[in-house]
Formats: sequence, structure tokens, C-alpha cells
Amino acid sequence: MAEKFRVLVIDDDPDDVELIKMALAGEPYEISVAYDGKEGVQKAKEEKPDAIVLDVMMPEKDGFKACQELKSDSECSDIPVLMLTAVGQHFSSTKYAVGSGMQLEAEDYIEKPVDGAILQERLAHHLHRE
Amino acid sequence: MVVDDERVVLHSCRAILSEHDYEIETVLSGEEGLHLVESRSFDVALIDLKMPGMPGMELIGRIKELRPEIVNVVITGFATVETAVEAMKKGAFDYVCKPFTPEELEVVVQKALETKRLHEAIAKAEEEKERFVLTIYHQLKSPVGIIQGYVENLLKGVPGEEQERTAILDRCLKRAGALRQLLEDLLSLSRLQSEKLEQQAESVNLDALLRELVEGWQARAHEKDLALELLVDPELPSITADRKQIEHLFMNLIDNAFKYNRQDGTVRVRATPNQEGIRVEISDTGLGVPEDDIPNIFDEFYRCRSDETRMTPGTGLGLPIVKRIVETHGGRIKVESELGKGTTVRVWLPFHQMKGESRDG
Repeated sequence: MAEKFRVLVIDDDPDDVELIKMALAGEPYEISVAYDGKEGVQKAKEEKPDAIVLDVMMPEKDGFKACQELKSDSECSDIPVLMLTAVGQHFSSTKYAVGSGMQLEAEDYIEKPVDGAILQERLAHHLHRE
Repeated sequence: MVVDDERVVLHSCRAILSEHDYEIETVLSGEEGLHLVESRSFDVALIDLKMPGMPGMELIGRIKELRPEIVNVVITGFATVETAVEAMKKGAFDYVCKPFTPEELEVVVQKALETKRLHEAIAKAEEEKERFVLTIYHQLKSPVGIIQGYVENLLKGVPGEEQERTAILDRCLKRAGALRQLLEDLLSLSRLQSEKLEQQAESVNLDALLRELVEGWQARAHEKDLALELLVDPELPSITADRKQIEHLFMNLIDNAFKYNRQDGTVRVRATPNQEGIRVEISDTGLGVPEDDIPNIFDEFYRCRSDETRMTPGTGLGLPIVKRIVETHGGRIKVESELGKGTTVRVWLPFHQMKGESRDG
């Protein structure tokens, strides 16, 4: 357990960020934060984290746009992106539908409010931790 | 579109209706009518029931499937009024008997067009309602989810000091407070947007009203190390307005000037009369609004986001409420801002001109 994984959280709501930190407390993660899509993409390019947790609904640059940019950047495209969506399944026809997140090649999606156990499990899966 | 196998009917329809600003197509059979409807839509279709080939009734059925937005009107002889009634049961909107006077035809077509417009307005309202519900859903879900998440963590036991737990509870309280404010604002906005908006018109002395408001804010100004200044023209006349709404209006604007100010900043409220009304300026020395955001700041749920405002609570409904109040009083509002320097909101309220009393009609 000596190895630490670096996770970049991109979310404009500081309380969301706090909850994600709480969910991952005690796990071997080092968390850095960006509060909007633009800053997030920049940080991802600089820090090359092991995984990115990306909120869909953000001002400036929303999660889809940020994801698209990350995925088309040769140095970032391999970093697994976990998209956070606040949209319930019954509203799946909206712009922020879960389905479109998948088309944009995010590796995974998690519905908000984030369930700590699910986030841990998915992160572990994408980082190939046993 | 007019469908009738008798040329003379087509001619008279065209003659009567071309007096109006209608675009008219005439065809001689149900088949041709169907063909036309397949390629384009119409507002109203006038359809003869008794035609060789495809009967009018069948055409109405096909149009209902193909273009439900078209309002169908049946053309019928006196002898077949019962069939016309049957057609209306099947979805025709109205009927006109042959031979008809120009006026009879005009009235039927006008009624059909009105109905069409009504249908469209209803559909649009439904769509707007759905979008609004969806927006509210998101606006409510996110704070509730956060409070839930924090409480779950607290119940599980957060490692660390008592201080950290207090900080979490404090965040919960803040989000719950914001949620409550959101509900209040939603109600205010909904009331202001209601057609049945009732305003209590009375003579309002803005000098006294602003003085009272500013006095109420002095304690908070002191707390936040802000200077709060009021400059009122001594000759300020009264205006006819709804006192509660005017209070709400300036309360929101002063609140914004406080929230987005910097330490040791100034909030200045200035009221001066001009020829037809009163100008009130509320200026702050705060963060300012980015130029790109200014056109959007009166939109519902729009909030300017930056590092400085991220932790500032707000529902995104304050300014829409303000704008609505100004509008119902026949006034105007304008925002000027310089990033990093401050924002000035200029409100102009006429002496006497509330909603429904507009002199322009």
C-alpha cells in the first residue's frame, strides 16, 4: 500500500469536492482540485494524474468539453476519466445524459450525489488496483 | 388548403380568403389533398366531405396522423349536416355549410386560426414548464445531495477533531439556508410572474424607505468593514408604487453590493429625481462583473463564477426578481461594471406608472 495514486478532481462546487475527499479519505490517494473545466484541463496537462474525477455541469467549460479536450490530447488521453453527473436516469434525454458522456469516451460515469463506496470501487477498477 | 371536387367552391373560397393575408392552395380531390399535405403543412384545411375517390372523412383521418397540427374544417351541404357532426367527432374542428356567405367562411377560418395559435401557445407553455421543472430539480437536488452526504459522513464518524465536525455541520447549515432562500425566491418570482399579480399602489417616499433600509444594513456594514453611504436629494418626490416590492428590490441590490464587495470597500446608494421619475444608483467597490457575463445576469439561475464568488451563497434568482419588479413598475434597470473595480446598478422608476397603467397602452 505504499504506492499513492494521484487523482485530480474537477468540480465547481467546493462542497462536492469536500465530499469526494471524505469518500477517499484513508485510501491511498493524493487529491488535487480544480474548480472549473479550464483550470482542470490545464492541471491535468501539468500534473498528469493517474485518474480524473470530472463534474459534468460547470460554468466556463463544462465536463463534456473538458473531457473532449483531455481525450484529444495525446499526453492525457490515457488517463481514465470518471464523469460525475447530477442527472437522474429518467432525464436521460437531456443534454447532460449519461449516454453522451460515454460517447465522449469518458471511462466511467457516476451519478451525483456521489456514493463513497461506489467512487472507491470504480477508481480502484480503473487504476487496476486489487 | 381547400379540398373540394367542385371548382366553383374552390374559386369562391379563393376569392373570399384572398381578401385576407392568407396563403391559399386549392385541390380537387382527397388524393391530391393528401399528396400536398405530405409535402408541406398548413394552418387550416377546408375539406369537402362528399368527393369521388378518397372521401373527406378519410382525408381528415390521414391528416390527423400525418400533420396533427393542422386544424381541419369540414365543408358540407345542408343535407349532410349530420355527417359533418360525425366528422367533428372524428377530429374536425368545425364545419361550414354550402352555400356559404363570405362572412360565414371568414368567421370559420378565423376561429380555426385562433385555435391553432392557442394550441401552439399551450404546447410552448408545456415545454417551458417542463424545462423549468427540470431546472428546479437540479437546483434542489444538488444541495440536498450535499447535505445528505455530509450527514452520512458524520454518522459514519469523521476521523479528526471536534472542530472538523463542527465545520461540516456549519457547511450543512449554510447549504440548508441557501436552499431555503431558493424556495423563498422561487415563490417571489412566481408571484411576480403571475398574470394575477396584485400590486398595492400607494404613495412611497423613497427617501424614508432608503434611509430605513440603509440603517438596517449599517450593523452588517460595520461587521464587514464596509462603508455604507446614502445620498438622497432633499427634494425627492414620492412615487406611486408597491412598497413591499420596492423594499424587496433595493434590499436585493444592496445585498449584492455587500456580497460582492471587498474588505474596506464602499457601498453607495444615491437617489435623484429627474423629470419623470427617480433614479437610484447602487454602487459598490467590489469584484465587478466580467463583461461577457453582463448580458446574462438577469437570467434565472445565472451566476458568475470565479474563485472569489465560489463560496458566496446565492440562488441566481435575486436579479431576475429585481428586474421583474422594475418592469412591473414601468421602470428601467441597467448594470455597469468594471472588473476588479466595482459595479453600479442604475434603477429608474417613474413617478406614476405601474403595470396595467402604461400610457402607451
